[in-house]
Amino acid sequence: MAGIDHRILLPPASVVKPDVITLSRKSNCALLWECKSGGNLEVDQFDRYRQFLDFVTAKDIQRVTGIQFPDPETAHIQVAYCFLQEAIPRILEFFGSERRIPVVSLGQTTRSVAGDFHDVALNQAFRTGFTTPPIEQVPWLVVADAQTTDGELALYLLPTVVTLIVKQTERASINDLLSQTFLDWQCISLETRGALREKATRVLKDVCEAEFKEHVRYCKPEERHHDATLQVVSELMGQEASAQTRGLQKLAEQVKSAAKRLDEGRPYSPPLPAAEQSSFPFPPSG
Amino acid sequence: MAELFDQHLHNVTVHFEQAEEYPAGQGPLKTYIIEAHDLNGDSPSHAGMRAVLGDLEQRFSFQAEATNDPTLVTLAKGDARYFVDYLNPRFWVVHTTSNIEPAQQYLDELVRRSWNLDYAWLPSQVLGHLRKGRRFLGFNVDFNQGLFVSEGASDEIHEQAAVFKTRYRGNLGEELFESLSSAAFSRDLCLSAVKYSISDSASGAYIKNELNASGRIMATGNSISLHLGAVNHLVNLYAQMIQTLENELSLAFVHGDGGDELQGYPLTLHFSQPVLDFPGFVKEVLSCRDQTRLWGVVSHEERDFVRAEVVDLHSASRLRLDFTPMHVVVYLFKGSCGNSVARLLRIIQEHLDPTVYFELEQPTVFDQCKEA
Repeated sequence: MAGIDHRILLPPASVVKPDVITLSRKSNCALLWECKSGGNLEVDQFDRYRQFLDFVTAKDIQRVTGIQFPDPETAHIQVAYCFLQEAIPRILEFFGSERRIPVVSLGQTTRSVAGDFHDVALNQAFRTGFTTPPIEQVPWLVVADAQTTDGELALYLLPTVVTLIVKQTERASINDLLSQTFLDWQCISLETRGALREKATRVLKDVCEAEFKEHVRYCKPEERHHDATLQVVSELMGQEASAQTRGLQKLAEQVKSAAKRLDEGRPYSPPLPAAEQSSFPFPPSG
Repeated sequence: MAELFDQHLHNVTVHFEQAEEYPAGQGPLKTYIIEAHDLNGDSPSHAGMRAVLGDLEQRFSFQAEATNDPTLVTLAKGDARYFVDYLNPRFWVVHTTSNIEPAQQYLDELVRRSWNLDYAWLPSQVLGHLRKGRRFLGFNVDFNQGLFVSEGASDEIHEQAAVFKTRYRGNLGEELFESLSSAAFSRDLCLSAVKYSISDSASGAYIKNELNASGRIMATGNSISLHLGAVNHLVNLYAQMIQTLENELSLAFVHGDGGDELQGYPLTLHFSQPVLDFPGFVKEVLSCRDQTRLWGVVSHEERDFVRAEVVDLHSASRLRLDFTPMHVVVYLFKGSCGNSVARLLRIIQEHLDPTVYFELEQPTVFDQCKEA
């Protein structure tokens, strides 16, 4: 894998943004993948990719994305589409005679159903097809992109905040948290990283002032620093063993409720003290 | 230290089964393996040990004292006194002749309440390997599926949960264990301790060791050298195991010449049969409780599939776990601790399926232990 969500300008002013770019050093070729469920093929986008192949070279891709081809002069680039199998009959008509853009069908078997890959061995492998592994056996390595919701982001980021609480780390920047949470952080395009950083800052500020208030404080970026930080103020790890376990279990519940609340766009409402939770603490007499 | 323990071995004769009954200082010599991180989570250096020991003194009222050996300190609390050898600062060797109850209690307090310390977690197969080539004097088998069955599970599931516990001491260890290993119920055979002796017939030197699954070796005999040799073999093997897990599995996209390449791979632990109570299993693994020591939140849930974002409370590092009734996939994040994976495997062996073992992509120390 060489890149995720890189936005590439097609002069004068149109843009394509392949989901993933993969690079084979052996064949000196990069594949720019558009992955779709098949509900909607964006015809405009498809046309942009066709023009793209007429104008954009491997050297352009290297300059824009930072991907380094073994030999940029002779390198190839190719666009490939991947669809769920059930969408294939409907979308194939759009591809017509465009053989430069291979279409891969993803069902119980993964195989190419139109177009050809430059790389002969790769083309043969996709033409023959292979059994698609069950979803639960597909490694979950790339988890966030610009479409990730606030709630999803909280589910990924807050466990990393919990590591700070356990370690009693005094302070950590949002950037550190992101790079520790997302294994592919360095592969994500600068633009998507910026969007995720902005979203993460908003989510963490919210949760630090709500569910995680006793444990972590949000600190605005200081002068000359671009990045906000989190400061650990938690006393949880100093407590005796059973209180510590209960506190940690409560933190897990708080992460779940914060994620749900953020996705529903609700503000935080602190839980009522135990005595106020029920207006009938005892069964009515008589 | 060696002289002190040599004298101890010559002065006391003990039976491990009665270890808690001996007067103070008259019990067996006990040696523990402790896996350690420094206070920022990295592998500790010799120089960083001062801060780690200072932290233990402050939080647990232990008294640390230096010795003439620069990588050996004593830690004392109440009646218990430990010699901590940190020649390898990541894997400490802790010796004590104090009585087993306070010695174990204070050490448990230290290890379980310190995010940067953990015991060793030896798979059943590795315990089986470590008794080979030695005179096999006994074993403990402990398997109980009850831990992963929730209170709310049906009576039928509770009744199906297997329990197999036995202790054997005697000179038929080899024959009995081989016989159990080939029996129909061998898939419930989870070794939790092995007892063996090592001797040098020319000199009459011998040592009897009882090694348990958390890396504790109790010793009696007349040769401290043979005991220290067995300890050295164990700590080197364990260090190799943990470092193999970290080197093989730690996931990171590394910026290479041509792009970003994935280093490491997720590890799948396959079960030989479906989990009895799948929700109960997931809930217990993520419960934050001893011994699992994992904190987690579910990020994706379907029938028979749960994905969780996880924190190992020892080492305060990140993992991701995918659960199905037939396997668990472990994603070890870069910089995370291999002991998390060793602990999870050990607990799965004790409470779910003793046949589960590490299947890495290339031959490693784990295969050598299994095949030897």
